[in-house]
Amino acid sequence: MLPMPGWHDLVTSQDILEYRTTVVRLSGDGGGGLTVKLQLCVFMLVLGVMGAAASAQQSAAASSPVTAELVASVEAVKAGEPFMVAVRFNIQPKWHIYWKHGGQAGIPTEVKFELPEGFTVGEVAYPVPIKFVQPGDIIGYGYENEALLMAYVTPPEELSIREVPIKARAKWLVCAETCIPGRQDLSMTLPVTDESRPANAALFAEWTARVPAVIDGYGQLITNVKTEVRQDGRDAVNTTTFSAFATLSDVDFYPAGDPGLRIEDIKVEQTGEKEFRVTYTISPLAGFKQWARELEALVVYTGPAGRHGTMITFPTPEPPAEKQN
Amino acid sequence: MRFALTSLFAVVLMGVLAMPAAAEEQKAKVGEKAPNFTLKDQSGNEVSLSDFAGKIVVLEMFNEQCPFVVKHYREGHMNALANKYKEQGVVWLAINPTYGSTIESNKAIAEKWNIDRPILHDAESKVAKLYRATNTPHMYVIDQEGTLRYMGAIDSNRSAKTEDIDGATNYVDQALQALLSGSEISTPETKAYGCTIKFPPN
Repeated sequence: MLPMPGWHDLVTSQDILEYRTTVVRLSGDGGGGLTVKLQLCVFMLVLGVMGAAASAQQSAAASSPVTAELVASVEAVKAGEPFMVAVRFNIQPKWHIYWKHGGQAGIPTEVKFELPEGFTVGEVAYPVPIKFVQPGDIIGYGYENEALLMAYVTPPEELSIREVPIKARAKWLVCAETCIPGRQDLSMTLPVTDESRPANAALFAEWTARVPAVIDGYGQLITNVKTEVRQDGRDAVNTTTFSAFATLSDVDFYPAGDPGLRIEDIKVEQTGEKEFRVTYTISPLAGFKQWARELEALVVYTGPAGRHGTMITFPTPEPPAEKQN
Repeated sequence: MRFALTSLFAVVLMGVLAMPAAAEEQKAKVGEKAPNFTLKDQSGNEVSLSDFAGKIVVLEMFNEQCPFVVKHYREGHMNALANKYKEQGVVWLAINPTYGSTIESNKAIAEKWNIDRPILHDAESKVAKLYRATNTPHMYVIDQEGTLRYMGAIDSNRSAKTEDIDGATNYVDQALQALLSGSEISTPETKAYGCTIKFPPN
C-alpha cells in the first residue's frame, strides 16, 4: 500500500483564501490591534493577487450547501501514463445535486477539466445516481452527501514541463426546499515524475466502481434489450424489455432528457424470473419539429454485487414529415 | 317509463365512465382550452381565470425564495415586462404554488418587490398540478379565446444571473408579441428551468 497524500497537498487557491478570511475574522473577534492590521494587510495582499473575481466566489462558496474540490489519482505526473482527475462534491445533508440528466426539473451538474496542451482529457464519467421522487411526483436524478465526477487524462509521451497545472470548472444546482445554483473554479499543480506515484487509490477505486457499465461491457447484468415504439400522432408509448444475467431487485429506468421531449409515466414491471418490461410515454413539446432520435437511459438494479447500472439506448418517436411547399 | 329510466341510467353510466378521462383531459396542454381555477390574491379576494374572458392572460409560477425567480425581479425585469403589456390589456397573474406560503407572505413580498399584480395563493399546489408546472418560474400565455398558447421557461438561458437576461430570448415576450400582432408563436412550448416547485408532502 502506497502512502496517500493528505488533502492539504491538493489545496486550492479557494481554500487558501478562505483560510485567510477565517484568520482575520478570528483575530478581529478578539479585538487585537496590530496583529489584526498585519493579518488584514496579508489578507488584502492575497485578495489583490487573486483578484476580485476570486473574492466574489469565496463568499458564494462559504455559504453554499455544496463544496467542490479537485483531486487526482496521482501525486505526480509521469509522461505517457494515464491518470484520473475528479471534482469531489461534498453535499450537506438533505441537499442534492443532479446527474448528467436531471430528470423532470433538475439541472445537470457540469465539470470541465483543463490541462496543458498535449494532454488528452476523456469524457466526464458520472457515477450511478439515485432517484428522488419529490412531492408532486417530480422525478429527479442525482447525488446526496458525496459525488465524484471523474475523467481520464493521458499525458503526452514526452513531457518538457516540470509542473502540470490542472484546472476544473464545476457548475451545479443544489436543491433542498429551494435551489441554489453554484459554480467554482478549482486548480492544482502536480509535479512531473519518472516513476508512478498513485494517490487517493481508495477514493478512486470506490467511485470508478460506481460508473455505469455499458451493454455487453464488463460486469454488467442485463442483455437482450429491445424497445418497441407505439406512435400515435406525435406522441408515443415505448416498451423496453430486457433480460437479466442474475436475480435483480430494485430495477429502475432513468432516461436522458431532450429539450423537445417530455418523458413521463415510467413504469417498471418484472415479467419473469429474470425478465423486465419498462413502459413510458414520450410526448414532443408543442412546436418542436426535431429531437434526438435515440436517447440513452440508465437501467439501475441491485444485483449480487450490490447497486449498479447499465447504460442502454432507446429510440424516440418519428418527427413529423417536413411539409413540401 | 322503463325506456326513460334505462336512458337515464345509460346517461349516468356514460357520465361516470367519462369522468376519469375528463379529469385527465382537463390538464393544461398547449393548443387546448386553459383550465379554469379560482384562487385568493394577496388581499384575500377570489380571482378566477374566467374573470378575464376575452383577454390575454399570463400565468407565472412564483416563489420569492427561488434564485431563478429573483433573477427576474432583482433589477425589475419581470415588473417591466408585465407593465409593458399591461398597457395593451394583457392580464398577468402570479401564482405561488410553494408549500408553506400564505396570503400574508404573498402580500409581504408583493409590497417588497413592488408587484402590483395579483399573487395567487396556491400552497396546496392544485393549480400548479393542473397546469403541469414543475419549476419556478414556469410561464403560461393564454389567448383571448382562452386557449393555452405558450407554456414553459421564461427565457432561453438556464441561469440564475440577472446579467444573463439581456442576451436571452424571452419566450413570454415573444409569445405576447406574436399574439398581439396576429402572427404565429414560433416557440409554443419549452422545458421550464429553475427551482423544483415545493409541492405539499404526498
